[in-house]
Amino acid sequence: MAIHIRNLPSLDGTVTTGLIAARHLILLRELFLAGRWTQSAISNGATWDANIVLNLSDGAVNAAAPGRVTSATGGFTGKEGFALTLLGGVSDDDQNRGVYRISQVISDNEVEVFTAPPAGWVTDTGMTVRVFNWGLASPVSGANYVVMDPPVGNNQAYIGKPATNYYFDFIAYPRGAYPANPTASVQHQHGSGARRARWNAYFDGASALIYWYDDVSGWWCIGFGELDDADAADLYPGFLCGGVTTDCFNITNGDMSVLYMLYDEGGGSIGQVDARVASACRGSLTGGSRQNVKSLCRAVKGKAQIVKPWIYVRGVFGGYFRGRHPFARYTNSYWEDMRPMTPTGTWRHITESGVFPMNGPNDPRPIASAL
Amino acid sequence: MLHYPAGGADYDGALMMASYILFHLLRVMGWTWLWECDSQNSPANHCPDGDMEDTGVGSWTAIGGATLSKDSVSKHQGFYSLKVISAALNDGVRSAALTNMENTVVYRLAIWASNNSGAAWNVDVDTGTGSFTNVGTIPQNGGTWTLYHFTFTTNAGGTRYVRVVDNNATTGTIYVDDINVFRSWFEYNGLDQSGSDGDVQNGNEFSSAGYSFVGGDVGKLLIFYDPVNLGNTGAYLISSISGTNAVLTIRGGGAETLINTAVGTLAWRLLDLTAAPTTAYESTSASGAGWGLESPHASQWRVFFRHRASSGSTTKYIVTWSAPGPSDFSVMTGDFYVYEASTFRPRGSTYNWASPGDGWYITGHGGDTASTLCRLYVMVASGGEFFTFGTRMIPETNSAMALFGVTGVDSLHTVRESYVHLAVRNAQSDTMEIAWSQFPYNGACGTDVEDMPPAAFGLANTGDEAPLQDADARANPFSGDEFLERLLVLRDFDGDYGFYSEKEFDVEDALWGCRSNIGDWTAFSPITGTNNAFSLSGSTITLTSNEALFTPEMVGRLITIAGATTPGNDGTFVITSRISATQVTYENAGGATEAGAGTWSTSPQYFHFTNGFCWKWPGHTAVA
Repeated sequence: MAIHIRNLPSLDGTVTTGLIAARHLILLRELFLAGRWTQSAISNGATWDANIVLNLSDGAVNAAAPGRVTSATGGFTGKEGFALTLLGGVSDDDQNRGVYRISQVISDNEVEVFTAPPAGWVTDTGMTVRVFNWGLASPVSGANYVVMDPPVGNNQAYIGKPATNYYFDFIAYPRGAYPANPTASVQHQHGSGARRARWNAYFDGASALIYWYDDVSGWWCIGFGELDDADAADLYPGFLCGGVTTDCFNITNGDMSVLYMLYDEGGGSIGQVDARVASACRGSLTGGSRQNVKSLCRAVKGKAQIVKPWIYVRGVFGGYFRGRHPFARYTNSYWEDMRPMTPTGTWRHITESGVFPMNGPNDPRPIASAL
Repeated sequence: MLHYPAGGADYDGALMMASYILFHLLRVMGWTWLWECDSQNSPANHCPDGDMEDTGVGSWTAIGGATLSKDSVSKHQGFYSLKVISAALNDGVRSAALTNMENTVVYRLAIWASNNSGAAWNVDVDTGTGSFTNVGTIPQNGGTWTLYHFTFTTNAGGTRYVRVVDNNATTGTIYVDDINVFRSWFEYNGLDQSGSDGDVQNGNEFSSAGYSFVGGDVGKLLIFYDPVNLGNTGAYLISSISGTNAVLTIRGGGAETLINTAVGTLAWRLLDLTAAPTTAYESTSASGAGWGLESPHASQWRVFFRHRASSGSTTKYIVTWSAPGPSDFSVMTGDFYVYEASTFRPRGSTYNWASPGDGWYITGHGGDTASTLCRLYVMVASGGEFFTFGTRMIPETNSAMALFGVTGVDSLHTVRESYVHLAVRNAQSDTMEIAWSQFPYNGACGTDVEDMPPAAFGLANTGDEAPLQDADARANPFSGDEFLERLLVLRDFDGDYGFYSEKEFDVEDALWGCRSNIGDWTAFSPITGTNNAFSLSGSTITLTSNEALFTPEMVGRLITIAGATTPGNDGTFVITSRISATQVTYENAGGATEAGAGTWSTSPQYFHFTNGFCWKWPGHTAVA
């Protein structure tokens, strides 16, 4: 079962503008931890950890009391509005894992959190509860990073920021390779005024997908993973993809159509090659002829076309098909935004042809608002 | 693949002969005859109002005390049949004069009839002599619409008529419909022998229990269908006679063999190719001979071909139309009625197949003194799901290609929606490519209503590259495996009619796109494995390969052994049986029992035509 996080709101209106990366780098680490990734390297770790104001090991949730997180140890007093990461537990169910916002402190031993996990709560005890203040006593300013390893596979995610506090940097490495052979990064340069966002995430094995909506620029997206249907001899099917503009969900014609793949360059060096999502066009035309982005190609007699795309390493980097995208699909670009594409709630059209995993028919619609 | 002479100063037969061979192959494989026409009449049927769709009975004359009327309740196709009520023996109906008949030519008469009169009715023809001759009967058939075929030869002159008369002394009623008079260029033309009693023997011979092949059959074409060993099925030129068996030219070179059978039930036809319709004959008329067949597939999809001669030999047309199901058509023209689904309802604009620049064409070469040989490639799904065929001239010039049939059901598409008709529409060129302006550029597809909107093949595209046509494209560098993309049908590719979707062709893994810089006309991707053990028994080697890669389809294919410890184990052999996924047998008396060493490889799995279009290949080495 995959881990889904939906519409998590961050910060509030009192936080200084321009610090979206500095304020949220720690959140990204928490999201990956919730997604069962593990931390393998970090810069200024003591500074990061100073922001974790509670770190409990006796958290509990109860399906009969949805949204309530309890701890015999306690310490919740005064933590309203803070972020709460929920991990592990006796059952360690994927449904509970996530990062939440404390909406109400019931007592020193009990809080209410939101947003609700998309698939509901599963009663559990012995859970790890990590609480931090969105405002951060010690913002992760300056150039900082954390390196996360997925629960399976050979990929590695560098999640960082340069000195500018509204930039994110994302880099893919072969597992264990950091800091050797750094590859080119996907850099998210948010509007300098951005300060808060709504966060969505999906984690499943080697796949990690995070997309969020900030209060200045709108949607952003980043994904790490390993290709499906890659050759068995392909040691580095890992990739990084992501939008650097607001076109980020356009899987066939925009930023999400570009993947940075790892490749063994020989001589002990791991390089990076540029790959593309391949979609269908008529005949052999290139450039703008892809059929799924034509405005009239949305009416399919009520049937949803969802295509698992092939990934092609560009000709200048070798010219071959490397595998298929593990967590993104494409459909006709003119379906309405945020439309569930299957009755069972497995896939949702985000916008502009990009289709992402959905967590069942009751999974809330991602909110295009930072509030 | 069949390699046949097809050109000459006055021959002009390449594309038309392909149609002729294809027709007989489909018939042997169980396709139902629907219709034929020759080239001498317009509309094609020589019998006026043969489809009974004219208003009234003006084209029909009552004989004796018979009463005639058009009936809209009991009919075979269209809106009406002809109802004939007789009052006495020899009452019946006579046609109007048959039009544009040639003298001293054998004609065929097809009649659909529903006869519950209690007795047979006679079918008579006045061949031009002024008197009627009986050519057969329509038996009492309990009122079940049934097709009957008759034959007659025209007199040296005169006016010709058909009549149907009661053979019973009492009152009776018969319904007749879809009367078609035609000179057969297909079903009966050049068909020297046929049967359902064949067997393959000695790897390249064909035997019939009821017919002894003779020297005069050398050079003729034998077509047979083997529903068990599908790779046996095909059209083969007879190279010689061995006893009473026909020795077949398996292909234009190489040493692979057919799989022997002992069933005595293979359906076959023996054809004299010199009788096939040619443009030399057809160019005397605006429209050439044509045929219509119905697939044995449950969908009963139907396809019609009609030859259309054009000036010169380098560009010939076959006009095609089809329907995703058993849609009604007129026997006057072969055209579908527009109240049911067919390519006559393209949704965009109607078209007239006979009008150049309109409709869907297969364009190819007729053969001439510069291109005197033709290679015919045909693939037919054994269940009738689809067929595709193409011709390639030698020396190479205009080639032809087309595809018809259902592409497989999936969660988004019913059988009917999966139907595709891919022949070139309008003035596109014709070669065997998945490319702009080529045969897959513009066809039609089925829908869940009657309309058939445009369809075309789709190709992977990244926005800045078409990967399969990228000059830098190569096999996967990690494994060396070729990337193959299932042929993708773009239905309603511009979305104009609300039917847009992408449909993979997934019937029998038959049709693929590959990178275009694989050599043209090249077979590729053999299966390879490791020799783990050789066991010699008599002259038979059992090869064990622990990778479990052997499939039933490999029987009859070549296997090449290299690197064995005993040199006698190396070589190329024909796989004679598959014991399991890890073991096959072949004949090699010079081999030895030993532990395995080295590798094996079979013949290639795919054949690349040009520009990225390829087929699953039955194992034959390609002829360049």
